[in-house]
Amino acid sequence: MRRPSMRTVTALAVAAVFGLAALPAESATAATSRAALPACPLSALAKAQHPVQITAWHALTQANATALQAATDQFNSSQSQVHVTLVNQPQYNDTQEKFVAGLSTGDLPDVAQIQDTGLQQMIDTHAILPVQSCINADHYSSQLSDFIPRTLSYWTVKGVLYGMPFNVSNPVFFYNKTAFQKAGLDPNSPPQTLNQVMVDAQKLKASGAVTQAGYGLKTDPSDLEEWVAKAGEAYVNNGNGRQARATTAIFDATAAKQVFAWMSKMVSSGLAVVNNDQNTEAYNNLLGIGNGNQAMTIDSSATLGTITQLLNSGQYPNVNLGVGAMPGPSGPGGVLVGGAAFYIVNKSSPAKQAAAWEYLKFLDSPQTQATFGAATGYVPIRKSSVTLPAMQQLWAKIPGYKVAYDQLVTGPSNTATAGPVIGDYQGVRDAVRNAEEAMFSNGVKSNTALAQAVKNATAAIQAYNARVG
Amino acid sequence: MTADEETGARVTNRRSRRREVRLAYLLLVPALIIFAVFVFFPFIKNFQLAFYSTPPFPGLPNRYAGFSQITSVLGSSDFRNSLTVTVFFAVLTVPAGIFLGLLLAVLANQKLRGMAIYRTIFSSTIATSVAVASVVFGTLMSPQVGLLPWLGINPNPAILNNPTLALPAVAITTIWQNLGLSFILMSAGLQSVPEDILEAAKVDGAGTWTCFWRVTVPSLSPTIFFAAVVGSIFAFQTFGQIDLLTQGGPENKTNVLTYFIVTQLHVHQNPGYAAVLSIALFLITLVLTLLQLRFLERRVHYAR
Repeated sequence: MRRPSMRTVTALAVAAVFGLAALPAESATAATSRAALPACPLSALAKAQHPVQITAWHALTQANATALQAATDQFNSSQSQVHVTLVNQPQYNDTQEKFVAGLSTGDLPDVAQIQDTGLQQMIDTHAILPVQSCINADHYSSQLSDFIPRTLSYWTVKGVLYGMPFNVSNPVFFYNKTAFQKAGLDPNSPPQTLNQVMVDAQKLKASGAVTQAGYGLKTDPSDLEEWVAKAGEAYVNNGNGRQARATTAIFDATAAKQVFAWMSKMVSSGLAVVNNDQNTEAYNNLLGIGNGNQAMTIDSSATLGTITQLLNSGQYPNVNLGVGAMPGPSGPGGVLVGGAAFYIVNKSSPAKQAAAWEYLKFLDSPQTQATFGAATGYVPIRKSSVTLPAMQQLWAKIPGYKVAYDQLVTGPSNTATAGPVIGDYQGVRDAVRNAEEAMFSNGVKSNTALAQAVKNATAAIQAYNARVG
Repeated sequence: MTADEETGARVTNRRSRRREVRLAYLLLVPALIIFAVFVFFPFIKNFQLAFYSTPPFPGLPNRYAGFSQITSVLGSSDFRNSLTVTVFFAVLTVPAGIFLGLLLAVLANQKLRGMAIYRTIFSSTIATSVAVASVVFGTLMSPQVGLLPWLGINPNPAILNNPTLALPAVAITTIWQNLGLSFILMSAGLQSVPEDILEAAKVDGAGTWTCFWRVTVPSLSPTIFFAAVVGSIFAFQTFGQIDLLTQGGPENKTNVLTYFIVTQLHVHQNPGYAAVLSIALFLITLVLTLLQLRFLERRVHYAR
């Protein structure tokens, strides 16, 4: 579904670059969309003095940062034209804030790693060179068929790929096989639906396999985005914000109603414990499994590396961790991409922009993706990466890592699975989180809470649009 | 002295005074420049910003919104909620903080051996940063590793995720953290309670409680009022605890004014909205400060 359209766009854009001057009398809309795509100054790199020094901001930590540094060192030593210096920022949010501040002060990198939700804002800064420009100029599009389609569609708006996907994860289902056994459940068949989660939670509690409740429910609003996408529904209007800027939240359809009712029932009947998704408490759902208080939860596949390390330390002898696909409403959809992409900053000199593109190509090569994926647990975004020894060895050793990849290649590529593009993502997520909290603590009915969430989310979207429009 | 001489002396006087004034202004210039750049300019700019609908990124135009932005922000349910939460937070923290500080100060004011150790312990939280206090209490209340859940106090949602309990929990953290300051203020105040009046009261047959309520507390009233005003200003400027413990949640029930301002500015990238909020905060703090000044003046009078 997606790839042909990508190719069409690419062909159109290439045609535009060569044909724009010759064919001025084309249809107005086509002309504007082509004119909107700036040129990628590829040739500037060869003319510049070597090595061209570029700076890349990233927000990875621990093993992930080490892996990125290793990949960057390898890139630096593999050629003599470009030298990349990595600058570590504390968190994704800090990087984005610092980037926005840099727009006034001029303190900007040449490449910036920005979290998934930052897409619309990065477009609105007008400070980035869409990687689509370089894909077209460098005839890189033949490589795109090897990318997992959803990793491309997530960062594509109106047919233009803005950021280069790099580290990708998605939510998976974590459960304690030991507790499942104790409760008489099959430790090798984790629940596939929300209803099954409820049934298993009841059994876990009744059998005494858990001390508190069967399920640790994290109030992470991005889970709702995933569930809605899994059901094949859109989260915001205008094709999830992919065809035009989204103006209203529309996630109060079948999937969200079902999920909200399920969450409400899980908590009110004592089958689930509510866990915070922010501050220092953000991993209580996972700690709860470790402490034997709960036995099931949903969290990002990106946590698997840390969990594995902790489990190997022998701190939690009663946990035999299982990883399953994210249970939830089924439909013509699938899970979304989470993680971050690298953006080329257009305020840098042409040579630096071209150098940045060389770096990004290297980071997304099948070999780098395999090595990085094996070292961190992120899903390699190249299909051919998974056939390489590094990934094969990882999957053989810890099969849990494969779940996130399988989820990402299962299901169609459509606007639902591309995911929503929203300017004030934080505002929309706050609206969802507040609604969930009202439902859990104040006994607000699930449909009322959901309606409130949609209303406040729309208000946040429109407030942002009014300020950029 | 003739009239002429008198005038001459006055002129010289005026001249030298003028020279002094000029020198004074010259000496003030460096400070003025720094204040102008870092305080006055941003302050005035903030008032200007309040009238503009600001884009999330530099480079896009600010659009004039006039008073409509101010009225829409101040009339919004978010602002009302934030103000209510902040006032409630002040009510929870300030009287309790003063009461406990006074209690400890009176206890530590006994002339007993080893009292210095207790004074050190009681005032120790003044050396504790907000971050440390928050992490300590956050850990105590954590549903997975905390002491309270271990003791069986484990509501679902957990304390800090619970709309009814979150604000009181943050308030307790704050009271504990501010207790050292409150204790020191009250101890200092107790030094100024006139011994002779206390003696006289005792001679007249007043008991410990009567002495405390009729002599100590009235003599301490300026200190107590000072602590109340400073405490309220602190409460209105609370940020660290909220950021570390609850991030304004659950359901915005801990979204105090300062935290609200910061999230509007940095998370929603809305400087215009944040400017209106900070003007509101400025006016509230201004009123509190005026109260304090007026009272301190009265205290000087009282001491005479």
